[in-house]
Amino acid sequence: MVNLPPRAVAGAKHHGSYEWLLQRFTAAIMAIYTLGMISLLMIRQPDGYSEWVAITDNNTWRFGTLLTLLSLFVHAWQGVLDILNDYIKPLALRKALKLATLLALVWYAVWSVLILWKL
Amino acid sequence: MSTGIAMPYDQRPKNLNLASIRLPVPALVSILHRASGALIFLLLPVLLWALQQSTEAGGYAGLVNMMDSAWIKLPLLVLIWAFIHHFLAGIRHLTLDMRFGLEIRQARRSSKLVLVAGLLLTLLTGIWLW
Amino acid sequence: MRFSIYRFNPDVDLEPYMQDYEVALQPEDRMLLDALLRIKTMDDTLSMRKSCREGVCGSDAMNINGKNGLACVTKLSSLSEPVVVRPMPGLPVVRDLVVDMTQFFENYNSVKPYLVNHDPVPETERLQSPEQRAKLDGLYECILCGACTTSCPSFWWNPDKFVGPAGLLQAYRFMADSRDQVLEQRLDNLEDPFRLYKCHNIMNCVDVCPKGLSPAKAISKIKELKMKGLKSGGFKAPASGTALAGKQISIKRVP
Repeated sequence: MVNLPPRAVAGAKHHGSYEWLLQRFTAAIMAIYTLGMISLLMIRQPDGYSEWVAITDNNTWRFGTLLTLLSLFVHAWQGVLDILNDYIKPLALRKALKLATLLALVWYAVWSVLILWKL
Repeated sequence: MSTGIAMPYDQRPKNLNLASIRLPVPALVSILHRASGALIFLLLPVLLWALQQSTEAGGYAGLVNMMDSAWIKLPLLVLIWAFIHHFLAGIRHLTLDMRFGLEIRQARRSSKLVLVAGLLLTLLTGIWLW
Repeated sequence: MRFSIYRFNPDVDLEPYMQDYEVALQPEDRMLLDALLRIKTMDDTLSMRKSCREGVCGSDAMNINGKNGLACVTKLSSLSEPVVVRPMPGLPVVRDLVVDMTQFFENYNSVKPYLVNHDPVPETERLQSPEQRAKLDGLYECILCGACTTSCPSFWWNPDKFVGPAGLLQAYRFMADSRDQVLEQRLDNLEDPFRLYKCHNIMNCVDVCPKGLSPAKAISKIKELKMKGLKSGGFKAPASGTALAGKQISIKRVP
């Protein structure tokens, strides 16, 4: 058999492929939500707090928004990772920034739930 | 003048003076895609905060009041541009992934379209905001 | 004609610098390489690579007015003055316009740019149908000058991890070859998040290729093969004749 170089990530056969797909999948979710939300706002033209509440005070909106926000955080994680890998060469600093990014995004996810369900 | 010592291999310079390297429009759209994404990421706490404010009557009124100030509206417009550009460049990216528009001429045209449409839509949003 | 040329001699200079030249060109000086050789008659310390001087060998790729290209096929009449000539970006400079291509060729080597076929060696050539052969058009013509890879920002920031457009074009050239039998391994070889997936469709590679090739297309085809592989949950063993499943035509060997 031919000797091809070992995979860079042991045991993760589809590491790069799944990350690549996930980035596009989350993008699609956000795009659909954005277009839906823009159309909704254009149709309803909410003017004032009570009309805004009428749009947002239901679980369909909450779950849709949460799904989109979670997609956003996953998408941002990949994107920021890409940026840090490209531009931050000192290993310790890069790892620290990755950890900070991860913690921030996990906190945003929790915060999103707290916001949407007014907890 | 010779120091007589050849420079070690890993200390040799690389020509990476970015100002000297031509930036084609597709590459410009690509780097702006990254920059706009980074900007949105950095402003995520502000966006979440605004969402939180909007769920309460007092906070909602506060946000509406803030929109009177040009000092809020102008940075907001930058964020709106970042969003629109990232969105449009992302759609273009997806079409390229699906192997549409991969000819260099088409790719140049679509990149110009993304760039101009992003600015135009931002301008329209700005007019609507004011 | 005025030129501004990147100079660096590691024995003497601590930093690279730009040197200006004013050259009286002769009527026979038509291409940038002619002008550089004319300058060399005035200043023989100027270093560059060159060989065939007709766009075939790929030796004299450099950054010309900000764009990578071959000096020997770049018309002087197409260049605005002063003509800024710098070495290809992102590779260590050996001297002046000469860069160290080691990393470039290591990346090329890492995709195993040769046919792998475990069948017994036939007495005559391994034949292809015209259709099978046509799949290699736009892939085999690469002269490995490095213009595409060194114009790619993804390569600049991760030269040791991202294979780069030239290497990926060659990776696909062998994936697309009906005589090759290790498609699965070739795809696996590009699986980590950097080797293939650092490509973000910037398309500088297509912009500069002096042979008019499209590494971007080859890369997108590799990604397509990868997604097909994911969908079918892996690839069939090479023995069942998979190189591009279903598209392989068996050819009778001429006795």
